[in-house]
Amino acid sequence: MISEQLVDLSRLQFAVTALYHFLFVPLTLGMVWLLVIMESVYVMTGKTVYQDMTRFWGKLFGINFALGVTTGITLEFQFGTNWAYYSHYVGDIFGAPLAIEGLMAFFLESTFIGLFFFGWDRLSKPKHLMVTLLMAVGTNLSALWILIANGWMQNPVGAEFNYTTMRMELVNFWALLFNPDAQVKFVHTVSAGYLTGAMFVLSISAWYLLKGRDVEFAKRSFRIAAAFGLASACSVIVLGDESGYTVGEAQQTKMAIIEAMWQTEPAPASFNVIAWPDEARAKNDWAVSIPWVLGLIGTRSISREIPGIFEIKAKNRTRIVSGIDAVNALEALRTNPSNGAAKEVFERHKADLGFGLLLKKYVVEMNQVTPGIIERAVSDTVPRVAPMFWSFRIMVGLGFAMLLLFALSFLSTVKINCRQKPWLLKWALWMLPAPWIACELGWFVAEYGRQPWTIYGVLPTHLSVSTLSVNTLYGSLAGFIGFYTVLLIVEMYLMVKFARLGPGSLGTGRYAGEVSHPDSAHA
Amino acid sequence: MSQDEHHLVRHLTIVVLLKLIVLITLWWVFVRDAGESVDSARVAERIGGAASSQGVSK
Repeated sequence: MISEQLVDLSRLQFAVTALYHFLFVPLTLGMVWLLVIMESVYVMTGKTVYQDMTRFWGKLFGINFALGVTTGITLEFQFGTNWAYYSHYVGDIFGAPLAIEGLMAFFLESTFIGLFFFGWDRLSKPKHLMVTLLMAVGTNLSALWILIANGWMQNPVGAEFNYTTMRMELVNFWALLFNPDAQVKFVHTVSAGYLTGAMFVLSISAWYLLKGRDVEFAKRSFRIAAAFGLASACSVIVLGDESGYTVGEAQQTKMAIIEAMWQTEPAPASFNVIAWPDEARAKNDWAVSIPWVLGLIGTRSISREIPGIFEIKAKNRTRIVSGIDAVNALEALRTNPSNGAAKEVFERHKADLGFGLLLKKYVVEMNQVTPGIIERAVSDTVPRVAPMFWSFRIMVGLGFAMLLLFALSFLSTVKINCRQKPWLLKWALWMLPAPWIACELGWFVAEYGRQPWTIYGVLPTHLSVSTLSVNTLYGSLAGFIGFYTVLLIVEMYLMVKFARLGPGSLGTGRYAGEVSHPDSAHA
Repeated sequence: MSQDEHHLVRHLTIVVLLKLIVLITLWWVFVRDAGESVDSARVAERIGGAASSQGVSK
């Protein structure tokens, strides 16, 4: 049997490195489009201030990119080192988008990033804009392939298990590519990145405005960030709703625990705005609910029910029992591939193979299974409710707070009075960490909510790990935490340093802290 | 390129080089010998118990 400590440490290592990695990613995804907008305005109007904006915010983008690049590579290492069984089991499907992502990231994204920084004096204005645009496309396409891979882990479509090779095999590439979970995840995630980029520019611009320095530069940056951020916030929320619908379709367990919905309600189900889930007693101590809303989000209908946790557990119990037959038939087929009876049983129960494998956490052979062990496996199919419930609500709350901030910021820039509203500027400044917190919580909800599976309904997490030594995992975990923390400190140091220097760091002589700074010339 | 930009390029170059060194060191210490070769027989053994891998080709 596989040690639980080994599984927990492998999961912790992946979670830590993934969460660190995603501190850098959303800013890259969002900032790059802001650079495209700023440079487009420069090319269209010829106003130097927009070139300065592209170069200055591009510099902060470059710092983030340089610090963030390679932090994702360790995740890909881990598929081979810590998750070797997972990699064998699903490598045929998972490997393709991951490889394409590698090509996108290294060849398209990195090449154009180089041209962006070193091409200012070598390329014409339209050509440089084209480079910036291609850099944005490359960055976002790179995210697309990662999210196609991740979407497949949430909703494994277009693949079948082959008992001869003991792996999942791709039978429909288009189903993988157009997996609804992957598509929704992609647009929701990149929109969250756009929001992060907009918040970054808005917050730092607000700080310049509060200080009364580089005012024309900051006002223009604030305006572009407010407009882009408002569109992004709307997009994140609308696409988050769509994400709720796909979760309701493909991952009913996740939907039920996010909503702390213990019992199946008559359709359409109500939405728990806030509640106090008591997991020991499997009920909510109290809840403030809005009728119909969850039913509409989760099913887009008023007649379809959303199953509660108890109903899901009952279904899972049936599937686990059916899965025992699948595992037994698989063992028989592995011993004698021409065993027709075993093949017939396997075909009948193969959809529940993954559920049968959940029992392997407790037994070596299926004849050791007892009703008590089945109940433990049933209990494992539902992650803890409280962490999911609260993480989701904090993420959504931050999303709406950012929507309000961007809406008010946009209105103030339309009325050209943002400088008369220091409270708005201070709010914008203090909201700087909000999109990162929301993004990290979003990933927590997506990934913790998928447990106990690495591939939802197909491969349990405990069967996916490599049999490394615990000491190796402790050592590498400590190494990664130390290394990534140093990177984060260097990132913060450089970001703060150059944000403080402001556009004066461009050395144009037009900004605060330089010999002369005729900001008025840009108006 | 301004003085600050030269400093920035130097900082970023050092950071990227250090990253490569640290990553290679981590790989060398923890990963190089820790790999696990998995094939269909190993997966069958884990999923189906020890008996199931008998008579199965890789």
